[in-house]
Amino acid sequence: MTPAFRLSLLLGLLAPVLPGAEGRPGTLQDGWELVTLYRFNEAEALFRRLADREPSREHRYALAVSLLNRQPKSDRTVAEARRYLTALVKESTAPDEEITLAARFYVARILQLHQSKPDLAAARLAYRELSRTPGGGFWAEVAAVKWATLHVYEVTPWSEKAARLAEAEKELARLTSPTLRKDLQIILADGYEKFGISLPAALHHLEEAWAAGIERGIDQGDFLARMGELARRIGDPAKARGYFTEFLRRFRRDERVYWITQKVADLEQGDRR
Amino acid sequence: MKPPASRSSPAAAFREWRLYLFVLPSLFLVALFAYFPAASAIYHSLFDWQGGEAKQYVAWANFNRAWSDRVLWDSFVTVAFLVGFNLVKMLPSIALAVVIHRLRSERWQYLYRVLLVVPMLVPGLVTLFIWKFYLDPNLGLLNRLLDATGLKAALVGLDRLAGWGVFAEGVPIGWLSQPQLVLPSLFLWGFPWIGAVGVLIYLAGLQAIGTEVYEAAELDGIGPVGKFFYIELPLILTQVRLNLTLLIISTLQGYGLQLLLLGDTGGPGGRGMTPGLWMYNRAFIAGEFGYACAIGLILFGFILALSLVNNRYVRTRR
Amino acid sequence: MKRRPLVWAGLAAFALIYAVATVRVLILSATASPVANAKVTVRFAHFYLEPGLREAYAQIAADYMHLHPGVRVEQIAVPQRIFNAWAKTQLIGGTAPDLVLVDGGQFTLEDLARHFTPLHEWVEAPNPYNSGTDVADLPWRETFIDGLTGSYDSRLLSYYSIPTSLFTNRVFFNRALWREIFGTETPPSDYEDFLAACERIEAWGAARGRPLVPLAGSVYNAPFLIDFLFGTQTQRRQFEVAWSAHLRADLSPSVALLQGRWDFSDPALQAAFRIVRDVGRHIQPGFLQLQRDDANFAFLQGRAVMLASGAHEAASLRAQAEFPLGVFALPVPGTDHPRYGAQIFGPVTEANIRPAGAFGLTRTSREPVQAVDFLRYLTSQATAARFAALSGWLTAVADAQIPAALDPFRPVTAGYANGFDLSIRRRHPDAKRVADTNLHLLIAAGSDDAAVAAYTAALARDYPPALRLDLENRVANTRRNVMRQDGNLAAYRWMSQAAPDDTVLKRRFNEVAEQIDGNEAENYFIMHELARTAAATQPPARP
Repeated sequence: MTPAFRLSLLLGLLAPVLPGAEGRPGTLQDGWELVTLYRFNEAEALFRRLADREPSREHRYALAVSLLNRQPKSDRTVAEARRYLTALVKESTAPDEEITLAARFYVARILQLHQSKPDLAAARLAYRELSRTPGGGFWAEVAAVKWATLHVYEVTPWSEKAARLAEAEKELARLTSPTLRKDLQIILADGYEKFGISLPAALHHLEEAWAAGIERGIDQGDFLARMGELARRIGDPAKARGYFTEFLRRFRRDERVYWITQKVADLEQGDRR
Repeated sequence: MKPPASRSSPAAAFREWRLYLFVLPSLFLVALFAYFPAASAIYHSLFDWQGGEAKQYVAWANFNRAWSDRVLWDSFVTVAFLVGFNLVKMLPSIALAVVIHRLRSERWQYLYRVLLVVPMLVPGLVTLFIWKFYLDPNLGLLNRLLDATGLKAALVGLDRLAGWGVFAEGVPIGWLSQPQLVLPSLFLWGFPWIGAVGVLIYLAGLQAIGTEVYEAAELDGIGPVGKFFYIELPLILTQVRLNLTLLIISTLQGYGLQLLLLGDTGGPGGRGMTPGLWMYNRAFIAGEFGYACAIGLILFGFILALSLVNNRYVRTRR
Repeated sequence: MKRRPLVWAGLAAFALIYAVATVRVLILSATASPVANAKVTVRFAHFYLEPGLREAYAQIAADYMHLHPGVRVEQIAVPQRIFNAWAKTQLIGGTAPDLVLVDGGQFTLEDLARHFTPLHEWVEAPNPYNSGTDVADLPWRETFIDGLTGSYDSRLLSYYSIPTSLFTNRVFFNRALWREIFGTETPPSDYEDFLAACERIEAWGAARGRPLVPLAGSVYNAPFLIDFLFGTQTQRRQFEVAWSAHLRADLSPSVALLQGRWDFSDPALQAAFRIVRDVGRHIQPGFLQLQRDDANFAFLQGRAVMLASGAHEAASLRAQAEFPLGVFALPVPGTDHPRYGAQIFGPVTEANIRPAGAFGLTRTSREPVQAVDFLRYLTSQATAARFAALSGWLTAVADAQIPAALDPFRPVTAGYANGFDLSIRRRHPDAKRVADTNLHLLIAAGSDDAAVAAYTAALARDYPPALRLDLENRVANTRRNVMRQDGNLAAYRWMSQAAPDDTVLKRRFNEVAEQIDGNEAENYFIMHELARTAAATQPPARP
């Protein structure tokens, strides 16, 4: 065997395992599905191929979002994502366009969460500005919720929390999405309760959130138990009984069934006295 | 006419390229199973990593954290004790090697060598389990021996005088369940501390000493103890140094003994916590794999430093 | 070249062995299954090698195959020690069985997301194998003892496994020895009786020169007693310091410690230390250095009268014990107990025990519908009862009939959640390490007051920093999850806009948004308190 023949044979054997010039073809839908499966690296590769072929705003936005969780995660990859997002915002002529708004949101998320040293003050400002964008739609409203969260949970003495919650509560007026209103109301309820400010206010917000509909079934039990208990503590036995009864009807297997059954009995006994 | 290429020239090597193919599989395996894991540990020590796919680059954060990790530095103190114990435990092997070497009958020498090697068939893990059983407070051989010989009573008496609060009448001694006894138990483990491999290595070194050296020593009136200090010990110092290096490395790295005997927390009071065991704890109990890799690198640094010190200062003279 | 006869002999031997092996494999594969020409094969893998369990699964698989001709069900039992490595290799290689046990905590979030199929759509529908029963119309998830809440992954927003079993904790006792000591086989009915029994056993043994301990113990068994009793004393405090009124036992106590709302001089904690000391004194000496087998050994050899363990041990203990085995639930002090009653809410519920034997459906399964159908069959009322009878293990299916021998292990649901122990529901490994490595102080010989004081001092010094580290790790983990969910938010937003009529996508999108906001808020609260208490600021009194 001549050396040339040997070399060709070697290359022939290796050919199937050498990386191809092009990876698996895919669509935006495929890429986003990979993101939902936490396969960020594959999603990033797919979006990058799409963006290289056609650098549309959708492709670049998708690439930027996948870069945020590309492994291994580093400030370098996050900075690259930020560059894409910032470019999308700068080149936009319509401030209320979906991708412009989403890009602004994710820049704020980078400041808040994805960079190794979060800049919460800058994130709060970015959310505030986004939430005030006319025609901001979903992204403006979710920014309002994020702003409220950061505002309430900025590290301050507890004595300042009542005022902070009151300021956060004003954002409710801006929210048109029932889902986001509900999320903000849960945050407010948590704040009023955790910081020991007002149980009636906590209950009120929980009830509003409940009316909007809690998506995760597993949390609905917590909601009913919590509303019932808060109502009991603030002295509204009828309301408490109502929530507890609903809990017992829907969550027969829950660990709290015995206790809540007793509470209902105690409430009924209290009524009869 | 071109002069022939020297046997060791690059040209000659290139001509014999087929020979290198024989080395490749072994090289590949060594690279994959020895060097790749080490490289991976270095890489991951720079990440916040929980062992899955997700990881975030944090540069030196893991090392900064290790700097103020009290448990880690306390574990080095523990391992310093263990190294000291193991230095003492080297002596019986050296003594036995000398004794076997001085036997006049070669048949007896051979028999003792065989007797030394036979226990090596028992897996190390089994030996550890046997020792765990010896140290059992209720059934263990050690407590029964102390009770039968009256030594337990002596210990109780001594405890009353010294106020240790460790030995009490009618209470089985918890060798691994009382913090004050953890290090003594780790010292006791392996008694009488005769390692077959060590003895054989020293014996090989001793057997290289020529009989004329002994004859000259006898002429000079040097007795048996003198022969040991002036002839035998200096001439087996190479082997001693090798064993010392291996011992230090294995003691610093080791955690299997502590894990089996004391659990992943290092036992009561964490007294048995070693750097290797802390690395295990961080990785597999706390899920902090990146931090565990950083601990591994710090440990590597220590081992390297000690090995260099050992090589430099434990000189051999011929 | 003339070949040596030995070479020919070797070749002949090789050919013979190969032929025998081939014929054997062909015969085995032809006769192994009653459905040799099965069109569909469902494989399930687990690591339960305890006696009775494999046989139970095999019998149920055989019953299913008779019900469904053309379907073959294959069980793969792998030792637990290597199960993790084996399963991951199979999953990555795409050759995993259809159903894989996800019990052992061996799978990370990425593993679950990548390799397992969410089951939320299946669990909302009734189980067809329950038709004709009281639960025929209930969603499948409602037929489990915990409503399937233990199988719900709150990060991935779905159910990822279906459990088949449940382990409750009980005290096993040697009935023969008990009768010899007490003249009766009746176990203790209350806490004081239990303590008195322990003392009586010790006295009886000492009088006869027989080394006898009341309770066999080890680092595995002792927590069944110690952590349980500890929790009875923090039962009330747990809800007093809870940051939410949802009445569920959660991780509030850990933040509450930082906030100064409890500490180790708290009456509840002091009572908890004393109750642990009460019982710890009667556990076999040196139990901190002993393993599960040591405790079992001591019990089976008659050196210990009682052994606290899980229901899963019952079958193997029965098989090995040369004496009749009794079982009872550990009695706890009542609310009227003079020393411990003040801290107790009431009886402890077992309704929050997380079921086990949970199988996940792999994404590479070629027969996902059939695999889920097999799971439905396995967890139907009738089959669950059969499983319990065959295996001697409790079933995770609610209200399924269990054999009389398992009655003592039936979970007691009438009660309140137990309080927290120092691992805070086993979610704080560093705090647990500190508590465990100082436990020897609490059970040391000497006066009770001195022991409790020594333990209190050690925890007051070492526990808070360890707890802070655990909380910081928890915050970091939640932050990582939220970062990953950011991608989901964008993905579901895009997909639901691309398919505006798809209500499932819309619902997933809303779930993701709700989850991110909820997790972030809770995380920020913990971070807030970590930061604030680092500066030692105290919260104002609650209204």
